Amino acid sequence: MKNVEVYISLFFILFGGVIFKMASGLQYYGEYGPGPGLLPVWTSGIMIVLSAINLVAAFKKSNTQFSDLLPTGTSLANVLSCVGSFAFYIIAVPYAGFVTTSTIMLFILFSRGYSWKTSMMFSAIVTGIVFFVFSFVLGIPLPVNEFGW
Amino acid sequence: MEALGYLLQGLDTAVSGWNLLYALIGVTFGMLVGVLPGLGPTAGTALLLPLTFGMSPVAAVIMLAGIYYGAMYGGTITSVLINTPGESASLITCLDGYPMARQGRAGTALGVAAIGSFIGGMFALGLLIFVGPLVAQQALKLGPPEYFALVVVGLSLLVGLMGKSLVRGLIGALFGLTLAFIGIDSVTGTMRFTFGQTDLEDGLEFVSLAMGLFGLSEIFMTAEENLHAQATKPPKIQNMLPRRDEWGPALKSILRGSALGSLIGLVPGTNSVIPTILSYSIEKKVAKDPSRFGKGAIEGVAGPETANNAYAGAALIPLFTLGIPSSPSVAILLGAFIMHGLTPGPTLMQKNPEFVWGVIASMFIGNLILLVMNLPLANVWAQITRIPFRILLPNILIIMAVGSYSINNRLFDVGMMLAFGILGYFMKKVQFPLGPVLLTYVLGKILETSLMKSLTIFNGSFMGFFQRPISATLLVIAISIIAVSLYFGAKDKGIEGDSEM
Amino acid sequence: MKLNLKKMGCVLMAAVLAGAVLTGCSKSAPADKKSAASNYPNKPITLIVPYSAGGSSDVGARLMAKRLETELGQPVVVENVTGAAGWIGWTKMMKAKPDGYTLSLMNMTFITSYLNPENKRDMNLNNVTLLARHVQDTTAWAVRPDSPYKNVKELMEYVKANPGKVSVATSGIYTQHHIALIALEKLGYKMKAVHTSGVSEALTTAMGGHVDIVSMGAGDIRNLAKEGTMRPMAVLDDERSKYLPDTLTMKEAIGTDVSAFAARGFACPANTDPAAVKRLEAALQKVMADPEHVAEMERMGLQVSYQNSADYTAFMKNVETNMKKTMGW
Repeated sequence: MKNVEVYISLFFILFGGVIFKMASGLQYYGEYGPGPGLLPVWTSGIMIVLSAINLVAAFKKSNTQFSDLLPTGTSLANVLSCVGSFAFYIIAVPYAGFVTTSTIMLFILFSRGYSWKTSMMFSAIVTGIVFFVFSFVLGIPLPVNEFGW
Repeated sequence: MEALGYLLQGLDTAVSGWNLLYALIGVTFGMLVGVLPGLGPTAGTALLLPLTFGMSPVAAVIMLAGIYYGAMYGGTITSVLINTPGESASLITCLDGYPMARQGRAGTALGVAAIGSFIGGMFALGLLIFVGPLVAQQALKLGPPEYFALVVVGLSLLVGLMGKSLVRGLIGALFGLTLAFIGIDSVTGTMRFTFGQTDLEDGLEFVSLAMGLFGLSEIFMTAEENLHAQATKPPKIQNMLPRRDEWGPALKSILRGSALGSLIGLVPGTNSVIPTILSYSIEKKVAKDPSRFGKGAIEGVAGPETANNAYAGAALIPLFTLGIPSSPSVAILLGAFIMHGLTPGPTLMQKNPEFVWGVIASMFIGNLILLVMNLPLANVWAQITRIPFRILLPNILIIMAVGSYSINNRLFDVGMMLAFGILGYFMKKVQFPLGPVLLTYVLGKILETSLMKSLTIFNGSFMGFFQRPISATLLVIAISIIAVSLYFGAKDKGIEGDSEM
Repeated sequence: MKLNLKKMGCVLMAAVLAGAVLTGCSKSAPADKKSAASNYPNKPITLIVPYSAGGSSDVGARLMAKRLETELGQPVVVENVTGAAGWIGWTKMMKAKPDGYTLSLMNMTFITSYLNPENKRDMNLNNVTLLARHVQDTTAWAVRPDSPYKNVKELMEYVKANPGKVSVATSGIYTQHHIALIALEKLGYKMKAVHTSGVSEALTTAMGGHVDIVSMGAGDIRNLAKEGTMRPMAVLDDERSKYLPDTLTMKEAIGTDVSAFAARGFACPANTDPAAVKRLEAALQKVMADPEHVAEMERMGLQVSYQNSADYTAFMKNVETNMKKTMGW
């Protein structure tokens, strides 16, 4: 099964299903009007129905194949480096602090387009500027480690 | 005219001494926080509030107000250049502003936004000066029921923005609505769909949702296309002014946007998304060739951009005349008033005319500064689209990471942004419309709370909505819009909506 | 534009430069436990405000932070950590190292939050050290000037005869405004609560005539009464408010005390180094005794109402007991 449309529809059916299940456990009607459950039950319910229609339509006429969707080679590596470095940032920043994590993240990204030396330099400079602007000029807290960087 | 005399006096205050400089600092700083995704007018005003402790009241409010409307303008820049709305007001601008930038017309988009913002701001200020007190008192009579009806009109207009397939558009819209229900229910206090996560109790953060679905996904797409490309291909940045044949329609959009934005700004409790949606839909309806919309129609930028700035200006009317803040950033301005010993309210204008008119006059000047600064700057900003993407990409990503963290100072929002970025990436690939997701998300929250407030007021009777003339009219309009668009939608596209791929 | 950015930068820089220098210095000091206690504080202190920047709670805390800096000789950095009606910020404080370098603004809604079984919180008052109470603001009711209710006695008689007819705008569910209405309902006075997103929306809704009464702080109502936009109706306390000396209390109207108030203070994690606690307590007390601070708070409509650590703890325990009783949690 390589039809992407099918998976997208299934995703929405699943999402709608989870919400529908949870919403039906909530109060449906309150003292003066709809309870917390009424609107979500309906929005998720209709969403399931529409996604099902979309699913059937997708079977009838296959639109986008996975092969059209997922990039290959360098393109794939580019996207993965974006997602990966970002995920790394989120996971590592509470422990390693902003300066270290940001430099590594930027290095991964810059190195897609530049030599490692240039990337090193760029990532250090950009990190420095961002850290300076946010911490000192704007006074906005960054996710930092115990030592304040 | 008495008001004009006061205004001249006010101008005198505004240009005297340091006040002019503070206005300049205010709008410049405002633009800066507007450009940084994640930081909006609210954060900007709050950040500088402590600095105003030692200033005179006029100077303090002049500077803070400058940040407020400067940031409204700054938010446009990221929407146009990198498809990332910095705040909800400039969400709609992405729809046509970003396509314009991809055609090498970023300068024009920003230029027309600057002109529109200026005219819209002036229009709202005129309203404040001449009819402010009168109108504000009347506008109070519009309450939760009218607000609910207005949101329903907004939602019904969304059907017109759904792109090629009605079914997918509706799925997207319902997805956004459902996401809006996450978090604590404001009426019963019930936790909904939080999966035991404390971070989800207030619902998803709009900014991370918007930056993820729109901005991050776009960056992934571009990264995939070609990292080594000179970002956009167009030979050179064109003029920042619209083409000769665009002036007419653009100016008309600006005028409509001014009226619409100011009108809705007067209604307490609304938000700036509603006027932009209304404006965009109206522009699309009245345009000779609606199919241009979404592909870089200049009216699609001019109208909503004007509307949101007119809204921002008009939202100050209740503050000056009644002492009511109509949005979080205006609430901070109110705080600044009080901190400097001024009590906003109906008597403020009589008791402290030199203050009120000084501030109003400074807004004229501030808007002028913004225009003068931005017309030439539009081209400078537009140059960003010519920077090689391999340099731009890491910079944008790190600023987004930092910006989304700074909204609530928690990493959860950054993670959410990434998750929605990935989802948006796949949805874009199969041409799933993303606009409806975000717009219904913004409207959904207000939809439910205003419905519940109204029903509590009406003792649970739905008929109450139809017993009030304005809410009844609005609801009838909404119902007709839905009926008409469903009819034509079903007829034109086929309910299965798979014919266009 | 460049020039002004520079100037802007200078202004901001000046404000934070001191912080930068001190941060730098503090790193050289080793984390020797004994000396850390005696020379506390030797590095910047973080004050977590669990609400967004710019609100009156935030401004009150910032005014305090500014004066604490002078008192303690170290920068006090305000960090707004928002979400879950404050709980996310409080969690961050409670989980911080108990070394006296992380404080937070404390509010009564902290108690509401963990008492409410719906929220499933796993921490409570035992996880914090209360340092001092800062602000207390009595709750009061106001109506439009043309309201048919002349005074609170008449109003409450009408409410008793017509349950659920009169509506009250609150600034949200489970706020002191709402809890007072629940307490009144138990006494046979049933009113409709219309929960809005905050004080300003509650006020707007009442001013527009969509609800009958707005429940807000007595200090704010004083300002509105001065402007003639709203008329004070009742003070929810057993004695009259100094802001509204002519307004009857709820106790005078119905004979039973139904009190509602907002009270905020400062807290740090439980088991914080006693030396640091002592130092902080003393500093907070000193600032609150400063008439200049009292005056600047007063201008914001915030009434400084100092209590030391022990009294504030007893006060919060009492709030907890009362809330359990009223809400049945």
